[in-house]
Parts: sequence; structure tokens; C-alpha cells
Amino acid sequence: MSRLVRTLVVVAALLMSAAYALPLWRVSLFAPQYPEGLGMLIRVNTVDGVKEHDLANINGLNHYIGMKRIEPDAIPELRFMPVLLGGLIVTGLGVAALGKRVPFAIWGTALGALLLAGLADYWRWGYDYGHDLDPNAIIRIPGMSYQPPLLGTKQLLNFRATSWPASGGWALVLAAALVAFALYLAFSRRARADRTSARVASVPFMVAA
Amino acid sequence: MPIADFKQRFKGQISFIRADQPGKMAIAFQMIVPGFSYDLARAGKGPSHGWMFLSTYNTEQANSLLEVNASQRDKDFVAAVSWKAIDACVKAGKGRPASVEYLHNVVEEFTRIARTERLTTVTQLEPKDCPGAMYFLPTPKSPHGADVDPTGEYITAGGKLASVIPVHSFSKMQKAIADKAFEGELDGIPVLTYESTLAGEVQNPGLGPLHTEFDGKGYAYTSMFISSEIVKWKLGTWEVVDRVPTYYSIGHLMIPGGGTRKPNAKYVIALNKITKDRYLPTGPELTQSAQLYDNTGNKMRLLLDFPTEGEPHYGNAIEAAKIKDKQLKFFKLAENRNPMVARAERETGVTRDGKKVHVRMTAIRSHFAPDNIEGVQLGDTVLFHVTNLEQDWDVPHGFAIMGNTNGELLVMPGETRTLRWIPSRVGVFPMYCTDFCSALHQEMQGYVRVSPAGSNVALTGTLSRGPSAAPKAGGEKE
Repeated sequence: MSRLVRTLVVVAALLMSAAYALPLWRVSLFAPQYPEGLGMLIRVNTVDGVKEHDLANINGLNHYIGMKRIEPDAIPELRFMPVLLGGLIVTGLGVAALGKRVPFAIWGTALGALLLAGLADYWRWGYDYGHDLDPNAIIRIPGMSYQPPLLGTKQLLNFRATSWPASGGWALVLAAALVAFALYLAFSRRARADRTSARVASVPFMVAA
Repeated sequence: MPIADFKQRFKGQISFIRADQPGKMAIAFQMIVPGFSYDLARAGKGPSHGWMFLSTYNTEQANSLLEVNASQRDKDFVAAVSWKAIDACVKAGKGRPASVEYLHNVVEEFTRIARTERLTTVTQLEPKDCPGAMYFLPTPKSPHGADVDPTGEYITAGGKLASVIPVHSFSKMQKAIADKAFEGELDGIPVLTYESTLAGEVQNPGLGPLHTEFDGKGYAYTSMFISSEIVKWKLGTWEVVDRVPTYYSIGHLMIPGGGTRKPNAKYVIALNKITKDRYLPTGPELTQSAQLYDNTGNKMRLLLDFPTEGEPHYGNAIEAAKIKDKQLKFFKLAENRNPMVARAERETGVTRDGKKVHVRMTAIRSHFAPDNIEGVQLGDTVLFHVTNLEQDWDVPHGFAIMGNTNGELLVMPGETRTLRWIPSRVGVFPMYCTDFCSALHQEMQGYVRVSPAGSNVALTGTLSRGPSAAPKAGGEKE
């Protein structure tokens, strides 16, 4: 592995560690009587409100439609995600130190797979919250479900729900892009044959990152 | 003591309330003064900081048919009082403790419990104990309110029976005191001559001048009760420059910040005493009337004639920006230190203490917990301690119970308040939320069962957990 590839892996690992401090995803809710909005931040180890009492107020509103309370302690993923992320960061640094292509390929593939699995798991939780409703709920609208969008905006009764990656999520996306680029550099024959030009080409990319 | 001894034996008093510590207002001291009627006060500012100016009437000291007997002298007084001088005299030990009785009421911020304290002493002093602290400025006639302009130099006092608006000068008053331009003395209070303190008189302003506000641009605005108008005049030249009708018989008027050193005179508001034909008679009394005027041009211009609560006696306004971003939207439940708080439904419960039953209760959209209470007996006093669990803006809950002879509760988010209820008969009594809280506000109700004294019904407070938590057996049908 070239020095450039190893540097990219180290930078990606450091970017991933930002996800410990920054929220991964943000779900925002707006309604006529909530002009200031309610919001939820999904973090690597918990879910909390944008404002101090937002999560409690979202749970309070959700009881009308019979949605389960969002209790971070009841979501097991939030307990092992920090460990998993830590493992990826440490092994990533190890891969960079080792400088061998095969462990790097395994690690890169595992990283991509786990990120996709995480996204799928997040969608699954959203589906579960949105569909597994109390049959005795106060408001029951046949055929209506309340799954928030994974990306973008959706009208859920009186609320406009918006969901986008937050700063920590974007850090992971950028880390994944860097790793993908590093994999390309490490394995593309043309890139290996023409390393000098690739290095030159990568400089503006690094600056932009 | 016969009432006829009023003039010889009655005294007046001016109480000074200290407000230097938030939440701890208290009577600092009292000045014992001649037995006149003392009216509205304004504090000095700038050069006159440290002084208060009050108007007086009934300096005749009449005790019957005041409308005539208190309107005989062609001048009453503006009292100029240096509270700073009195404060220094009190600190020097010139005051004496007087035996009195008064109540001091405080609502504690974090428990929201009101407490009444009966206090029995206050520091009093007389003008002779503190020379130089108080002067009388003769002022025509039965003045109602003394107002200080933004520079602190001019003191106006609209005499409601006067034909001019007199304006006193603070610097001339200082000079008159130094020159001892006194025309007499009342109970140790020097009376200055009218001419020695007079800065000028506004001639032919209208009838019944009452209160004056200022725009900070050299103009004053005086309400005219009898001629129903606001009159704008210029400080220094004392000429009337504009007048606008009000509907009707204006009392106070208001310019945002008009009593401060920096008024914001974009608007003037008239607060009226009489309504007549402005609104339909919806009863029992006519609604009260007020007007909003645009004051950005040379002429005041009526913008809005609006009904209001009666009677709109006094108003003050400041710029919204001074408050808007600092306002607290609700009480934080975590900071609630009321001894009977329930911060979650699991902390609720019903307990008996002799003949007292304490119900620790929570309110959240849209139910009380508990909402079924049994085991209360005739002869008990029930204390409902209701905590509003909401932590969002503008979601108060109310609490009332049938047969309550007390005021019902309005509980703000995060707050705990207590209602005392003494059941008057055996039966089942509904209780309910009295502040529209949600689409299911009307469903926010419950029941209290009152049993005969000595009954063996167990004391319980319960809340159903909903049909999904109910046992399957029994086959509940919809």
C-alpha cells in the first residue's frame, strides 16, 4: 500500500471518531402550532432532543397515534454501536500501520457492509415505530403509518417530518468515500501504474476534504 | 376619637419600599407627614435622581363633602422628597421603631407556595428628624400625579381643577432651597414660594389636565379629562403644538418608555374613563375604550380605537426586544422544590394523615394520575397537590372538583399547586381539567368517591392503563 493510501485510511479513521461527539442523524418535525419545531438527534450511543425536552414532547405527541415511546435505553444497538465503531477505528489504524492490501480490502468491505447494515437497521427501527401501533390508540386512521423518511421530507398528519444525516453522519459518509477512493487507488491497475498522477490528482481532493 | 377631629389629629404617611434585591421587596421606612391625601409619585432622574415627587390634594383636610370642601384652596402641593436623604437619616439612627401591623406576602420561586407573614414593626421618622429631606411646592389646583421629564429637570403636575399646566424646575427648586425662598412651614416641612420653583405654565391647554408623558424630543403630552383630548406642548416655550380628541374623558395616557430617560415615542395610547357610543351595550357595563395614536409625524393620528378591560387605569410599555429572547417558557420540573411535587406518575399516591387526605397527582395531556380516588370520608379535608408534568410552552392544565367553594387551580407546566376541598356529602364527585389543553381536554376528568365517616372503603388512587392492558377474559365488546 502506498503512503497516500495509508494516509487516507488514517484520515478516514479519525473522521469516524468524530461520530462519538457529533449526532449521526437529525429528524425534525414542524406543525402550525410548533413553528419553532421539535427535533430528535440520533447519536452513536443515544437518542436525544434538539432542545432539552423535545424527545419527551415527541413521545407525548406520539401517544395519540399509539406509537411506542422512543426510549434510548430500550434500543440495544445504541449499546454496541460505540464498541463496533471503536473496533472499526482501531482495526483501520492497524490496517494502515500494517500496509498490506488484503487486510485493507477486508476492512474496507467490512466498513461498507456495516455502514449499510446500520442504515438498514435505522430504517427497520423507523418502520417498526411507524407501523407497530397500539390498536387502542386515540387516533386510528385506516392504512395510515407514521414511518419517518430515511432521507428527505414527508407529511405525517399535521407534522412535516424531515430527516437528514447530521454532522457526525456526514463525517462517516466522507470517511466511507475516502476509503472507497483508497481502495480504488490500491487495487486499480491503471492507478497503480500511474501512481504519480494519482497522487497529484488526490491533492486537491485532500484539500477539499 | 370623633371624625370631626380629623384635621387636628390625622396624619399621613409615605411608605418607601426597597426593591434592590429581586424577590425581596420590603418596607424600608415610613415618613409621617401632614394629613393630606397623597397621590401618584414619580422618581427623579439625572440631576433629580434620589428625589421623589408626589402630588397632594385635600390640603384643606376636609372630612366631609370633600368634593366641595377639598376644592377650596387654589393651590395644593407637589411634595418633593429626597429618599436618599431619608435613607441616610435612617442609617444614622434618626428613625424610631413604630408598633404597627401589616401583612407581607411572598411567593417562593421554586416551590410556588405563597406565604403570609404578619409583621409588627416598621421604622418611622418625621420631617423634623431629617431636615432637608422634604419640601412642599405650591401647585394649582388639586393636582393628580407629578411627572418628571426625561432630562430630570422638569416636574409637571396637572391640576385637575387648574386652568394652566404648571411646570416646576428642579434646578430652580435647588436654588430656592439654598435661598430659603419659603412662604411658611407645615409640620417641619418648608413650603417654597410658587414663583421660586416655577419654570413656566402652559396657558389654555384645555380642561382637566391630569397626566403627562414625554417623547424625549422636547415635547410633553398631557391628558385632558374634561375636554377629552391629548394636548402636545413644547418644554421650554410652553406652547401648545397639537391636540387630538379621545373617546372619552381620558385618564392616563402612555408613551412606551415615557417615564424613562429614553422614551420610544412612536405611539401614544389614551386610556379612557367613559365609553358612551363607541361599542354596543353587551352588558352589564359598557366595555371600556382606549385609542392608539401614531406619533411619528407632526400631528398625532388615530390608528385604532379598541375595547379593553375596565377601566384602563394605567399602562406602561417597553420594547418587546428587551424581554422576548429572555422569557422563561415554563417551570423546569427538575427545579420544582414543592414538598408535594410528583415528578412522574410513579411518584403519585393518596395518603391519610388523620382527617386530612393528601392526593399527590400529576396532569399531562390528557389525563390525571390517579383519576379514580376512593376511601375519602365525610369530615375529611382533601388536599389535591397537582403537578403539571408538561415541559412545553403554553400547556397549562386546570383542576376543579364539583362542590369546591374555593378558586380552581391553573397549574403551569412544571409547577405544583394545591387545592383544598372539603366534601359536603356522600357521593361520587367529578374532577376535571379547566384549561383547554388538547383535543382530548374534555376527556381529562376523573372521579372521587366520598363515603360516610367510619366507612371501611380502602384509601386508593388508581388510573386505568387502557384497554390493551385490561385482562382478556370478559370479552370487552365495542
